[in-house]
Amino acid sequence: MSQHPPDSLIKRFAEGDLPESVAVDLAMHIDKCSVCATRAAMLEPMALVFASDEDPQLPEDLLAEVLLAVSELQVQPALPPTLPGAMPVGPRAELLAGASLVSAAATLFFLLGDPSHFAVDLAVNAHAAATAASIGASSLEGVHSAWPAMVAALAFAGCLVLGYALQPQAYARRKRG
Amino acid sequence: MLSAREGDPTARAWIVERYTPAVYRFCRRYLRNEEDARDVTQETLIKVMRNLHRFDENRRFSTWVFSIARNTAIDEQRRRKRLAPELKKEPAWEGPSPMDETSQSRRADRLHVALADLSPKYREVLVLYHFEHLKYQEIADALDIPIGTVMNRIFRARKSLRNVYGADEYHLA
Ligand SMILES: [Zn+2]
Repeated sequence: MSQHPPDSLIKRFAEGDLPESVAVDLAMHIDKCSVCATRAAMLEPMALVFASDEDPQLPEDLLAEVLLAVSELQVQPALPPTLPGAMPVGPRAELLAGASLVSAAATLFFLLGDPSHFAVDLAVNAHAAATAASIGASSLEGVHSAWPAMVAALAFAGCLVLGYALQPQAYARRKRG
Repeated sequence: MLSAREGDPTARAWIVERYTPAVYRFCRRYLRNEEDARDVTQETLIKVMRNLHRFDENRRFSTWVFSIARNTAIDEQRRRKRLAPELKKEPAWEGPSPMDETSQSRRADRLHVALADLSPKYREVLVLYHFEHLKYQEIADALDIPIGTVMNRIFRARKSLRNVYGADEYHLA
């Protein structure tokens, strides 16, 4: 469409009276041609109604709030590419990665290690602790401060320490019994 | 844009200052509730900053920002429905005071009510076209739909608005 289309066509376009294929051609012309864009806006039946609407006022404090939130993002280390909302970030991601590693190591230990009660119990316990920590960490999704992840990390560490501390005693008890 | 990607705080602040008002306007009209609009605006700008490195420079930046705003707004609506499934209807438009009785504000109030009755997929194209002045192709890009679908939705949305308004009221001439 190299020439400006006639008023009659633009009017039918603005009123939604054209077949889709013609409307799409005209829309692409209007996108590129400011003259026809103005004509279409003038002939738009609802023009006055749309013009009557005042833009919603930006709340006074919102810009400062967003600037602050965005500036806080920068103190985080450079992140690997993430889709919006798709991947955990920051300490949570590290915690999840750590928990997964421990979980994998525990499984290996279980499969390849000494098949005594102690080895088996230790592996199962470590695996359970790692899983609990992963669930705890992933349930914190959407929380952007670091402390919940730290609490989860401490709980995770606590589980492991308890597991290591209690298992030899339990093993010794079983051996005695 | 490049300096913002590299983390230059001035460039990042410039993007926030430039796009926060438009994102807020879109969210306010799309979600029709100030609190939700605030939350979604903030979340959108955070997502924009986190994903600057993913921005395809063949696209228009504003189109990309609106597509993130729109997806975030849809997520917010879903979350709201999950939290309060008994509230099927979205909250009513918090428009200008009913005490304000000029004909312009009455017309605007009717517009808000009519917009509120549209389903979101019609409302979003109208808001992007008539209030944010995106081009048809940009709307197609932002919503990831064919331009023919954009045209169809705009026409159907405008027709349903015209049914709300009297035949004599809406012509400019
Ligand atoms: Zn033209």
